[in-house]
Order: sequence, then structure tokens, then C-alpha cells
Amino acid sequence: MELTEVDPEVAAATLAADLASYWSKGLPELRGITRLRLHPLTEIIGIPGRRPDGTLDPYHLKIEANHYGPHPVRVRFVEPLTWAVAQPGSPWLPVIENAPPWFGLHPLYDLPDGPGQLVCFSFSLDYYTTNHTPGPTEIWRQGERTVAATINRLYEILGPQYYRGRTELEAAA
Amino acid sequence: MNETQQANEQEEGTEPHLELTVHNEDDGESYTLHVTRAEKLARAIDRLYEHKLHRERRPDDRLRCESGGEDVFQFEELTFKEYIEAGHCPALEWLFAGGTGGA
Repeated sequence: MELTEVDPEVAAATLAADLASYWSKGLPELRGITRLRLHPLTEIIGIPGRRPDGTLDPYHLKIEANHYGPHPVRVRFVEPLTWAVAQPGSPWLPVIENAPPWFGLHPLYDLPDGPGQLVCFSFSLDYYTTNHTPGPTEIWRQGERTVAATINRLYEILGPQYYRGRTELEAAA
Repeated sequence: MNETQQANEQEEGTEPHLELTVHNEDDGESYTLHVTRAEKLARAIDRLYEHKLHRERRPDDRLRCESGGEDVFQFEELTFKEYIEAGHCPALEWLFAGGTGGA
């Protein structure tokens, strides 16, 4: 499914407003979620991975908003500092166990623009470009859902119910 | 005080209201609802949908305790007194999330 890009100024304004609104409520700070603006359409969101034993591991997600508003942001786990997409085996990819039916993380997936990482749930843009069909209650609805939904679902996935630690190179080999 | 208010107080008791916080994980909004210990969770949930979320409840909606993630819907026939005394979600802080697709 090919999605039409949004006017960059409109998408950037929508993203900025939705992030500001989300941050104004205080929940991101309480959860240790951070944001770094790289570009009006690109942000790095920091989310702590919380292991069952209480250990915290920082993760970084790049969100890109070229289609944002009518569609969700594109989201991928990235390496720190370079913000390059984390490759299979990277410790900057989390190990998720017993994921709920609404989430999948594929380090290497056949994306329309070539093999790459797929963070697979209906609040992630790539979900819609990779032959997935959300149910009527699951689909992205502008106004009812914002980038906060994307971040909050990822925060949940990186919590002690599902998160088990960093991907290790030897484990991935 | 009119008859309706009196009836409400009799129904809910005269205890001070408790403050229930609900974070809407779909849009980042946070709401405060005032509830009484005599009120059933179901009634507060109905008010949440009607006055805050402004939509009908859907089968795959989730409502969880912010601390620990325990499902709230399963306790909706309890009063807040029963819910609190049983040790569920003492901070009265809930997370709402609509259906999500994936995998």
C-alpha cells in the first residue's frame, strides 16, 4: 500500500503540537522518556527498557513524520549518536519475549524500499506499507490517536512484562 | 440542595470524593474523575467514556492500573471501597488504550 506524503510544514506542525501536548501532561518525564529534535520531521525518542529485575537499558527510536497526521510516524530502533538504524544483532535492539498479539519486531524485513527493520504494530507507518490489514478498531485514526500512542505502546513493550534485555551478537549469530 | 443532589449523596455517601486519574495512552491526554468509595467502577468507566473519551466502549479497549498493569475492567462490578480495600491500584491511576493491530 503506497501512502501519500503530507505537506512537510503541516506534518511538522502536527508532530510538534502533538509532542508538546503529550509532554505537557508530565507522563513522559515520569516514565523517563526523552526527546531530541533532529529536524522538524524527525525526532529521537529515548525509552528505558525495564527488565524484570529492575535493570534499566536505554533505547533510542527514530520517528519520522513525512506522512504524519493521516498516518502514523515511521519508527525504528537506532544506534546512539549516529542514529543509524540498528542492524540485526545490534545491542540496540531489545529482546522481547511473549509479545502481545499486537506487536512484532523484525530486525530484517522485506520493506518496499529494501530489506530493513520493521517495528510492526498499527501505530507505526511501516505496518501499512507491508501488507498488514488492521481491524476497524486497530487502524490509525487521526485525532483519536497521536504520536503519543506510538510512544506509549513502545514504552509498554519495553516494560518488565515483555522486555528481557539487549540483543547479543552471539545470540543473534 | 435539590432532590437529585440529595439522591446522589444518599447513593454515594457523604465521604469526600476520591481523585481518579486516567491517562489516555492513545493521545497523551490525562483526565481526573471524582469518584466516591460507594461508587462502582463500572459507573466511573461509563463516565470516562461519555465525558472524557467521547466514544463508545470497544471490545479490544484496555484499561490498566498504571502501577503493575493489572486489568481494571475485570473489577468493574466492585465499588471503589472494595477495589481499594482488596489492594488493587491504591494510587487510583489508570491507563486507557484502544485496540492495536500488529505482529
